[in-house]
Amino acid sequence: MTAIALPSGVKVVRRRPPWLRGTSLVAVVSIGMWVIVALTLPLWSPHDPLEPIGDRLLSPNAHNWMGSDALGRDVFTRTLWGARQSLPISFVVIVSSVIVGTVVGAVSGYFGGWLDTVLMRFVDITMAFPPILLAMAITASLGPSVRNAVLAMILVWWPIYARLLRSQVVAVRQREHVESAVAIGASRWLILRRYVLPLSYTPVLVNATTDFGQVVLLTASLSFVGLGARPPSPEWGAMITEGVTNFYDWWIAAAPGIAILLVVFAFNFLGDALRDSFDVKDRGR
Amino acid sequence: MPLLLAGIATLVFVISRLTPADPLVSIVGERNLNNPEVVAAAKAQWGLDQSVFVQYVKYMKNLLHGDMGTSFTTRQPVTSDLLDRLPATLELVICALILGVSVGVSLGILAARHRGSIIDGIARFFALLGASLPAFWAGLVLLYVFYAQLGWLPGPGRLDTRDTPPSRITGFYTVDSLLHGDISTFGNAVRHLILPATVLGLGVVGIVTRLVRASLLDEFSLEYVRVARAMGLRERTVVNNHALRNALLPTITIVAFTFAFLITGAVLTETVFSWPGVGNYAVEASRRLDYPAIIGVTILGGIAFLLTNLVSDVAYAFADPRIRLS
Amino acid sequence: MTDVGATSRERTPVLSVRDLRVTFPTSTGPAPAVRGVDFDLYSGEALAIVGESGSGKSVTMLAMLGLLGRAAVTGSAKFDGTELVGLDPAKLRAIRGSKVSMIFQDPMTSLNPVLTVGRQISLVMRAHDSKLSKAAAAARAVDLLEQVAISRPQTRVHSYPHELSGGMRQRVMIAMAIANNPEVLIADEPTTALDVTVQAQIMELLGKLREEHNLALVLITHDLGVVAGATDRVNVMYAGRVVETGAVDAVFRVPVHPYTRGLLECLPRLDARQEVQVSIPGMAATPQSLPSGCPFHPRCRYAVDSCADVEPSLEPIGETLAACSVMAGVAAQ
Repeated sequence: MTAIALPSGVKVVRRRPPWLRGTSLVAVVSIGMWVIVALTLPLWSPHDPLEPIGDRLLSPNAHNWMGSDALGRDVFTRTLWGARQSLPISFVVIVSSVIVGTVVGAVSGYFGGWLDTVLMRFVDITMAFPPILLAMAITASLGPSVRNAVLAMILVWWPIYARLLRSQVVAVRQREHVESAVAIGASRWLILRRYVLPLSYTPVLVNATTDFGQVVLLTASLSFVGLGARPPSPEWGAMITEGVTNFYDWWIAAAPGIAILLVVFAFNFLGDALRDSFDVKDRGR
Repeated sequence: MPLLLAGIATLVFVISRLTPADPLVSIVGERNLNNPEVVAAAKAQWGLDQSVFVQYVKYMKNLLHGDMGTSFTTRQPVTSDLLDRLPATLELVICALILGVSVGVSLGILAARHRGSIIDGIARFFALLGASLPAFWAGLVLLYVFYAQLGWLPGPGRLDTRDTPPSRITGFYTVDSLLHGDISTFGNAVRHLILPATVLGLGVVGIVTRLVRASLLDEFSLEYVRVARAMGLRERTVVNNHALRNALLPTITIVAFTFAFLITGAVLTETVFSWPGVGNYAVEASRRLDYPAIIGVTILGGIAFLLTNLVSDVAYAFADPRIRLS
Repeated sequence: MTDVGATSRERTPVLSVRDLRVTFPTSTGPAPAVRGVDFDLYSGEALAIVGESGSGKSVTMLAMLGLLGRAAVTGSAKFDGTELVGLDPAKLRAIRGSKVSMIFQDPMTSLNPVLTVGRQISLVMRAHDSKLSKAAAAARAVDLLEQVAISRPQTRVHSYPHELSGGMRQRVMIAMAIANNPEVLIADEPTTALDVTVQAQIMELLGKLREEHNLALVLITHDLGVVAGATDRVNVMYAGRVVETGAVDAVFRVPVHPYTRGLLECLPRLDARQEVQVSIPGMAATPQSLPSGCPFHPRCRYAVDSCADVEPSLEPIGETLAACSVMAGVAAQ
C-alpha cells in the first residue's frame, strides 16, 4: 500500500499578528511617538513650558504654533509637556491596579471560601460608584494633589481587575490539565503561578490597554475640577480649565483637548484590535 | 441588597474619615469653629467627641433617617439640596440616554449588517471617537462653535437668563412648561438641552454601538439565523425580528448600568454648561471641600446604581421569555 | 437491476445537479469541499445522501441554495429548469422556504428563543406572500401544527421553543418548511439530535408528508439505519464526491465501493453475532488534505499501488454505480 500523500495546498505564510497590521499599526506608532516625546522632551523642547516667552493671548502663528496663553506661555510646548504628566500617571495607576487586582482576584478566585466572599463584597461595593465620583471623594478627602489623585485612582481601579482575574481564575481552575496537576500533587502556589495565571492574562491585557486611555481621561477630569494637578503645572485637564476662563481664545483649550483625544483614541483603538485578535483565537476559527 | 447599601454607606464614611484634617472642621466649616453652640450641636449629632465607632453608629442612624448632614456652602441639609437638583440631572440624563441609545443602536445595526465594509469601519470609528472624547472638552468645543461663533444654539444654563422657570411640579422644565401650557418656555428648555444632552450622549453612543454590533454578530453566528435565512426570510426581517430581539437583551443591562453612571457622571458636563444639577453640586463641593455634600452625592451615586440594577434585572427577566416563564 | 427510477425517467427531474463544485477560501489555501457531484431528483422520490462529516454532503445542498457566504460555487443545479448556481440572490431567497425547503439538525438551537412558535411559522409564510395578513397566517400556523401531529395546536402555537420537547421542535421546523407547499424538502440530519423513538416518529412524519404532497425528499445523514426504510435511492459521498449511487436495497444488499462496505459493516446487527465493534481505520479525508488519486485509498483494504495515481469515476458495477478501479477490474472479469 502506498503512503498517504502530503497535504496539498498548504502554504507557510508569516504574517504580523493582527494587532500590528493596518490601522492598528497607526495606533501603535502614534502611542510610541507620544512615549518618545514624553521621554525626550527636555532635550529638544521648543520653549520653556513654565516661563512666559512673549505676548499673552496670541492666536496661533508661525512662532507659537498653538498660540500663547494668559500668562504668555507657548501653548504648543505646554501641550507636549502635558504628556509627561498624563502618561506616567496612567502608567503608574494601571500597573498598580493590575498588580493589586491580580493578587486579590487570583487569591480570591483560587482559594474561594469566606475569603472570596468578603473580598468580592468589597469589590462590589467599590464598583457601585461612578469612578469619577469616588475618585473625587477620595482625592478631596485626602487633600487635592497629584499624588493623592493617583492614589485615589488606584483605589478606584483595582477592583475592576480583581473581579476580572477572579472570574478568569475560577474558569481556568476547572480545566482538566489544572485538575491533573493537582492530582499529581503539585503545590497550590505552583499551580497558580505556572498554570492558572498565564492563561488568565489575555483579558487583562485587553482591558489594561483600553483603561490606559480611560485613566488619562480621569486624570484630566480630576484636574479640571481642581483636584489633581494644579496650575502652573502643564497638565492637560488643568490647561483646559484655564481655557474656560479665556473662552474666546479657543486655542488654549483646543490644544490639550486634541492631545487627550489623540492619545485616548489610540489606546481605545489598540484595545479593540487586541480584543478582536484574541477573541478569534478563543473561538478556534 | 440592604447589605450592599450598608456597605456603600460604610465605605463613604471611611473615605470621609480619611482626611488628615479634624473631622470637626469638615462638618461645621472653619468659620464656625469659634461658635461654641454650633460646635456643641455638631458634637452631639455626630458624636465627634466619642470614639470612631460611636460616630459610625450615629452616622448610620442619621442616614437611615435621610439625614446626610448640612452642606456648609449652601447651609442647607444635603438631602434637600440633592432632591432640589436631582430633576435637572435626570432631565439631562434621560435626554442623553434617548439620544445615545437610538443613535447607538442604529449605528450598531448598520455596522453589523455591513460587517467588514467601509460602513462598518466608519460606524466603529465614530463609536470609538465618542468614547475617547473628554466630555468637558467636547462641551466647550460645541459651545464655542454653535453658541459663540454660529449663534445657533443657546449658551450655558437650562433657560435664558432672563426667563423664569415654570413653577415646579416635577422639576423637569420641559414637562412642567408643557403642563402649564407654556410653549415658549418649553421650546427654550428644549433648545438648552440639545448641546449638553449631545455631549453626554456621545459617550453612550460609543458604548452602545460597540455592544449592539458585537451582540448582533454573535447572534448571526447562531443556528436559528441560518435556519431563518434557509426559510427564505428577507435579510431585514432576519435582523429586525430575529437577531435584534436577542441582541438587545444584554443592551438592556448596559443601558441601565449607564443610566446609573450618568446620574453622577454628568459631573463634568454640568460644570461646563452651568447646569444646576447633582453633578455640578458635586464639583462645587469638591472644590470647596464640603464633605457632607461630597458624602451625600457619593451615597446617591451608590443608591442609583443599586436601584437601576434592580430595574434592569426585572426588565431583562420580562423581555426574555426563557426567564419569564421559568 | 431493480430500477426504481425507470418510470420516473419519463418525467423531467425536479432537481438536476451537474458537476457541482464548492471551494472554500481558507488561510491555508482553497479547500475543495465538493468536487463534482451529479444527481437527479424526481418528485415523490426520496434520495439519501450518506457520508461522514467532511464528505461534503451538507455543503452540496447549502451551496445550491446560496446559504454559504464565502464559498465559490460552480457547476449547475437546476430546479424545475431554473439554474440556481449564480442566480440573483433575491430570486434565490424567493425559492428558499417556498419551493425548496431545508430543515436542520438541532432543533434546540434552530428556533429563535424569544419568539413564539406560531410567530416564527407566520414569519416564514409572510416572507413569501406579502398579501397574507397576520391573522390568516396565524390561523394557517395552527393548521400546520396539526399536520405535523402536534397535539393541541391552538395552545401550542403560543408556546416558546424552550417549552417544547426536542421532537416537537423538530416538528415545528418541519411545519415551517412545508408552510408554503414546497416541491423539494431537504432534511439535513433531521434526527441525529433526537432520541431513537422520536427519530422513528419524525421519519414517519416525513414519509407521510411526502406521500400527501408528492414531495421530493433529500435526506442527508451519516446514519445508515435511518436510510433503509425511508428512501428510494442512496448517494454515498466521500471527500466531496459521490463514490457510489443506486437503489437503496441494491446498495444495502450488495455494496460495491469499499467505503460503502465499511459503513455497512459498522452497523451493529441483531441477527448475527459480532465479537468486535468494527470501524473503518484511519481518519476521514478533509478538503484541506486530500490524498492523491482515489481519496479513500489510505484507509482501503483493497487498495493497490495504482489507486494513488488516478481518481476513478462512477461506473456501473454490479447493481449500482461505483467509483472504484479495483472493483471495476474485478467486475470486468
